[in-house]
Amino acid sequence: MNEITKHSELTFQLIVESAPNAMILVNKEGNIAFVNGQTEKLFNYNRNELIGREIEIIIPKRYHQNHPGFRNMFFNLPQARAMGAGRELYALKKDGTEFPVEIGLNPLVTVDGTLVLAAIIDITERKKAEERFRLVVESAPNAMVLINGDGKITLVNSQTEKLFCFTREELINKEVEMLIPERFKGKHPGFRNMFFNAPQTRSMGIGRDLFARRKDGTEFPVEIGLNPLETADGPMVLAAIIDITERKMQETNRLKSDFLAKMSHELRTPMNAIIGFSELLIDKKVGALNDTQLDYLNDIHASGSHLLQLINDILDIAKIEAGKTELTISSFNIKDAIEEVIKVLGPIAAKRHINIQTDLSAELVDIEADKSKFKQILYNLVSNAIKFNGENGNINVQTYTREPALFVLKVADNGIGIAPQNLGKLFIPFVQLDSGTTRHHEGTGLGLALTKTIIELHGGLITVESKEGEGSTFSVVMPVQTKKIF
Amino acid sequence: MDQRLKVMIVEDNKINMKLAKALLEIEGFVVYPCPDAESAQVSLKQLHPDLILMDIALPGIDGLELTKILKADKHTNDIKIIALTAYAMKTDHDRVMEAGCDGYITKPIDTRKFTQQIFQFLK
Repeated sequence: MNEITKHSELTFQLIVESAPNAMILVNKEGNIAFVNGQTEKLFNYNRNELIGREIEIIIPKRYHQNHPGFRNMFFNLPQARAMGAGRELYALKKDGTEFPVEIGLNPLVTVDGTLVLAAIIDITERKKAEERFRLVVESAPNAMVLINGDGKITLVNSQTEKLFCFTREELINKEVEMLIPERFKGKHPGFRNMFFNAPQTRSMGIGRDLFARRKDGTEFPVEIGLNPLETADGPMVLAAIIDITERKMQETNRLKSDFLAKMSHELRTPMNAIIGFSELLIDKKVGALNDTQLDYLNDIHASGSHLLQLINDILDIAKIEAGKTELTISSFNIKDAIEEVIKVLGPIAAKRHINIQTDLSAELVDIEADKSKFKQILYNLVSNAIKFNGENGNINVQTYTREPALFVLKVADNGIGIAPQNLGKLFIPFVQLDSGTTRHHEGTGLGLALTKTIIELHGGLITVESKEGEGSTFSVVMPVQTKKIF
Repeated sequence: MDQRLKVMIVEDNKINMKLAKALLEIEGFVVYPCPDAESAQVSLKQLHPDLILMDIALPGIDGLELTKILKADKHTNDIKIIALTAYAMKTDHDRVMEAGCDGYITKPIDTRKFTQQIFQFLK
């Protein structure tokens, strides 16, 4: 060996020695020719324990069989490259522990022939960090999707699977546009590129309504947070996706009840004058009226009162539907409640010679419900029974208990009854039955719809049996103790 | 001295003012009409009614705000204040009582009970 070769060999050794990574020089036969200090540290060997030995000494046993083949392939086409592209690589310490590595290979042509210089990086920490990241993403309460610069999905958590009804396998390495409704797909790659050009943590689509698409093609409203991430595989974006269906619904309900409150106020204000002044005149507070004037004024007053009742019923139904109605549950004696209602309606029934009987269970004493709403149910059913009954008719109000912890309230009449084809329409708002007698039995057309809604709010249900010309029986089944659901 | 009971009505709707005024005058009350909170405040420097009927939705200072102001002032805090409003929901009732009103009557008024109710509040 001449001076120059010696000198360059020394230079090479110095460079390799001072490298921050473990570096190992291996010859064609697979023997270690040289290692640096970092190698000693990383593998816990002395360099004289390694030099001259087969490289397999630092490779886990399960790779031994294939390694010489790979090595020969390298020497057949020696070029600088990463080892084991796409595979996970592991190395073996002196004490037998394995650790994940990344290895760079460089061919080195020397007087002794071609060697390979392997630079080995311990990626245990990076792997741990990756695993931690994966765990964080997995345990996030929202759907999280990691997308690379090409718009491909590289990681999803189980919330994503749940939300979109895709399995992980169906999502990984696919374009993120598969989660976007058809009508937004076209513009998305442009938006995505804009994000990668100026990556910063922000909400997606500020000011726009965002929608996502499930596997079955259905859409749902979402809010999306974007976080840029620098990874070993290049810049990525982590998208956190929140399903805001529920929130949107609450918002709609809030707007709806605000609107209702406003409407209620605006409608009541003129009703005040219509009902108030007509009452003032009818009561002759401002002077005498002739019979026709009185008749017309009574019509104005009755129509005004009807309109007010309509407003109240509509608001009641709307409030319940907007989830705005709170039941005020208390324990009360059901017989007292029934008697209170009959006391009000009895005189009206008596005028038409209709008899109201009660048949109340002795077992059923106190119930837990919203008392004023319970009375409203009964009031509606009994006043219907009066309305649709003839002179000398009979009405029977019955209660009895039913297992488990339920009770039945029946209001039966022997009035005009309901045709079979009309039974289904009874509880639909504003659908008054198309009998020729409709004008005879004026109501708001909301009474039964409201009654049904109130019963359901109590966790109960209402059914009806009827025969035309023979009468109708409405049966309400309710829990003896209504739970506070709202 | 005039022994008749004096009621101030704060109401921006002219027709509803007319109705409440008529109902009270028929029963012999002295009525001071005010179309808004600001004019009520000016009038209250001269007048001391037994009761104020207070509309809630008013232009400018609203009825609940005026109630709070009057109930915090030792010159006016003995005046009964009854909200007279078309805000008829349960939450409205709570809101009104919280502001310090002594009572709550919803519109439409039941004219047959109205003056009776006023007498009750003045007892």
